[in-house]
Amino acid sequence: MRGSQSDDIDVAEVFRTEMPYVARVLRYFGVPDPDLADVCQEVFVVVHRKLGEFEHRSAIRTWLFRISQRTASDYRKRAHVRREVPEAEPQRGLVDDGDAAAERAALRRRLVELLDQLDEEKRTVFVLFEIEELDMKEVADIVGCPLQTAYSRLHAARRLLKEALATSERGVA
Amino acid sequence: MSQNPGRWSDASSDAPAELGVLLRNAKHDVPSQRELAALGIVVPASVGAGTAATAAKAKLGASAAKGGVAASVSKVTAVTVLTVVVGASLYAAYSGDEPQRGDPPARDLALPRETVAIPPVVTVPVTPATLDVQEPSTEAREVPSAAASASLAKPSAELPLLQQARRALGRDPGQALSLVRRHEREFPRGKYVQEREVIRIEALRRLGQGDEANRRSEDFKRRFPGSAHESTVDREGP
Repeated sequence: MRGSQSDDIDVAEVFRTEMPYVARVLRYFGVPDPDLADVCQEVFVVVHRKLGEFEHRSAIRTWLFRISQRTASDYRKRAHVRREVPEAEPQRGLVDDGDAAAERAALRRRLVELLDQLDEEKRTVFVLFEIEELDMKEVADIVGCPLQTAYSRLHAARRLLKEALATSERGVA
Repeated sequence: MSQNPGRWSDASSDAPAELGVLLRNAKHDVPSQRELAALGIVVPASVGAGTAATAAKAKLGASAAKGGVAASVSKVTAVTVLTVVVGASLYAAYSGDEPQRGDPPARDLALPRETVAIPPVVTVPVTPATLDVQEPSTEAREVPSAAASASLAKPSAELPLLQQARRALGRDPGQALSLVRRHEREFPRGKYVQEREVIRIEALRRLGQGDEANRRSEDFKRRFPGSAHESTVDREGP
């Protein structure tokens, strides 16, 4: 993966190219749009603080996701205390890019709604594997659990999502 | 080594159909620069130009782990300044390539859009005091703001050029495209060829040249299989 090869990575460029991916992963981790800028910034503050610890054993994105995961986790704890329900999000895409963007945003909200039913451990594994398409070893590394545990979380997440989907379909019918 | 199970976003997986759709959407759901801006997430910032060069020179190095560079990096103490600093360094990089040689700090301030919002409640679990800040080599602080643009522009004008192109995407995709072409001429074997192509494809889409964009996108996937940008270039046109 690009970004992992160099011992001469330009920090600014890393921020620039990786920010969209950090934003995406945070969204699917459950950070609502109104708080996304703040949480993104926290991620990059930590990134900056820990630059010196980055050892190139993993791709830089993997490293960023690890920080993102922890930051999102902290956020969720705070958000839980601060308010029961995160603010409602706007119904349309943020940028008026036309129907495609609105459609993408609608599908995202639907997936986030389903993911909200998972606990944090399962959600993290599911998002990193299914959306960010990391290798399971990287996923296990990020969440800091044995590989087998990561697998069982993934399978549990899948099972629960199937159930959640079935329930919501029944609800609609 | 580890064997991954099939992913649910694969059309051939046994995922429930709706989840397959949602996951395939999510794979393409990398926010564009415009969307990031709308969310208030903008990397280039205008504050803290005085320390810009610190970040501009900061490199992630193998040696970093050993403490040398680490010290100079973490020397940037004020936590809230950090992100901003990086933004400023980006700006420095960017301005290094500007045709008009204005006064960089002044231009900086003229771009309020680019300011990164500092969260009102910075609950970052970090305090400057806890940073492992050894007194660094002087490197970290010796650089006054004026040196910022020079120090970055020298090693490579490549990045600034692309940053300029990227910024132009939203307001003037035609200009973005011509900057991309210039990059192609000046840095045919540059470090950021993938980024260039991503910008080109986005610019073409915005200019309504969907066919050309798709052709370029296919080309991109052939040239850079497995690229992190794949899903970005893959986004279907309007």
